[in-house]
Amino acid sequence: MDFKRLSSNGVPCVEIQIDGHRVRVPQDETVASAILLQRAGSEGGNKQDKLHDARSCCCDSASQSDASPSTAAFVPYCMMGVCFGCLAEIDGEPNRQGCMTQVRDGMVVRRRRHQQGRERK
Amino acid sequence: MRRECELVVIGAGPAGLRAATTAAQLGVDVAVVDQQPRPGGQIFRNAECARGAEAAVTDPAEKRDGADLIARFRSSRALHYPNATVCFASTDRELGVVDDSGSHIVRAQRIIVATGAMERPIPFPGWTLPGVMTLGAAQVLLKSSGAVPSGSVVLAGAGPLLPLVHRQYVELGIDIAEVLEIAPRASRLVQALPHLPAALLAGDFVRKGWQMERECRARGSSVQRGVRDLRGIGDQRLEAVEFTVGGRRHRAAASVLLVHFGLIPATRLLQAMGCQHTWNVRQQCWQPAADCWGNTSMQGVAVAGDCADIGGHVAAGYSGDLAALDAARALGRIDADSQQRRAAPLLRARSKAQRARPFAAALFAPPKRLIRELDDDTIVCRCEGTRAGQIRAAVADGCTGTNQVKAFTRCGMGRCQGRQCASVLAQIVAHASQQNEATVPRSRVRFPVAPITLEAVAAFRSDEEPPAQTLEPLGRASLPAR
Repeated sequence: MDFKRLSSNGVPCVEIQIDGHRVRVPQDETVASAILLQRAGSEGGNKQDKLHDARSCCCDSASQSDASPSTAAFVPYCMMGVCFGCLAEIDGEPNRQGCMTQVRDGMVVRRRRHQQGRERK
Repeated sequence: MRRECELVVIGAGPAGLRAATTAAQLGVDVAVVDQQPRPGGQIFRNAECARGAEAAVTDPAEKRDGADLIARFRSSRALHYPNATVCFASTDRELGVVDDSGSHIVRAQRIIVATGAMERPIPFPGWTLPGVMTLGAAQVLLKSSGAVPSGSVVLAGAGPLLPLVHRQYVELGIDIAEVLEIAPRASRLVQALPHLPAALLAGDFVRKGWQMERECRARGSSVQRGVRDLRGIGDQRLEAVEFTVGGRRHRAAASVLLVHFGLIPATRLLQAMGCQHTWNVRQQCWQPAADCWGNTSMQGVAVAGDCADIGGHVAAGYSGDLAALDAARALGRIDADSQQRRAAPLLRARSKAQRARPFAAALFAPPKRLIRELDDDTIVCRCEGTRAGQIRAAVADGCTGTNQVKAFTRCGMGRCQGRQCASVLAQIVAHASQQNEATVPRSRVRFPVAPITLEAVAAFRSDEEPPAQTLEPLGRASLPAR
């Protein structure tokens, strides 16, 4: 999804991990927006490690490419706690709504991973 | 968290904050429970620390309102429990609340539910593709992260938010490829005209709307009206948007499609509690049955703001005040005469603030055909992938009502538990069974109304039980401190 920050001037940042990549994000952001707004080549990341891939939102690219038209959408849609499309594993707890969780220094985020066989909801 | 409170307000948006502030001023012992880390709800999201560019495109009056509202709340004696989710609520107003510090049972003598609104869901082919989001989502990203869409951006739908966001983006230098308005101007105007005099009396609303339209057109943005058959195209993600205008099919490259079809009340908690609801024909949504104070069919439970009736933030504030007045009277802080006296100007002000609503509802109402003529293949339930055709087939097979259809199609059984699809499901079932929406029984909502871990459930302790041993919430205690 294509969204970009206008500027982060003046907002203190914290460091979090998304799928093992360290990124700096403004401290008042939610996990969902942090994931959405990460770009290839972001601080601490590798240009090859496309953390934010056009096809992946809160799922890594593997799970998104396996999604067939008949399965439902695991993408953030509402950003305010209604659609549950932004679920991610946060600090070890799975299936937490990223849009309802503020980032915190040292937070460890893992996006959904596709499971073998029937896609788990 | 306090175990007992005279008044608990659920939701820290305009209605909730005003209810709490007013109640506190009248000496009521009040606490606000809110899921967000900061007060403000959706419209005043992040108002306390609004950043540069996006603050510049916010209406100055609205900015001031938000800052004032929150400042008054902060300096009042009302307690504020952020990052707190109400998972359970009993009919005698015992709330099960979970926050970062654990699970808490809070007993309240009065409750004011101010949980606000949600975007009206209208499915269309391709709406589940990555790249399609609601206008509300874009507003959250703008307000909370100072983020804007990039690439080729299309806005689509119906409602006054569309031109407002269009103007904001244009002012921020964002190129909007297309603005696709579903409602055809001519026929909508005819239907809305009877309400125009009242709307004009409301002052700003109509003038602001016309002004926004002029500004956007002056900047050369392409606005199409009477758009039909909206479709998101793409393989793994959104790549283009197709639509029909004037009988011709068009296709626009798009990386982001932001949709908006108006708002409907978010009443899950009230439904789970068993409050009576009525079908609002004009707004095409269910809302809690309530009197002028917001009192519902449940003793001691009142509603205020958009979750009671979509009316905007100004009206929501007055509703909060009125609900607080009634709570203060019920709790013996003021007498009935004083309540009536204080309420009179508030009722007038709220009435004035709501005057433009019938006009707006008529002008911007999404045509019923958007649901009725949904392609069988279109996904209705985002979580479970249930399509419109499956719902219709279930009705044809004899399913009566949304709950049976849910059982047979899984529509509403997924992770969002029907938040996103309940209203669409109800409308499809109504149409397929040739009933009025008002007569179709609503999808049952059960507690917990938010996801909760078993350990959080186990961590609730009732006052009556002797605390045999302290139950440490296992998971949270072992996590790094927040």
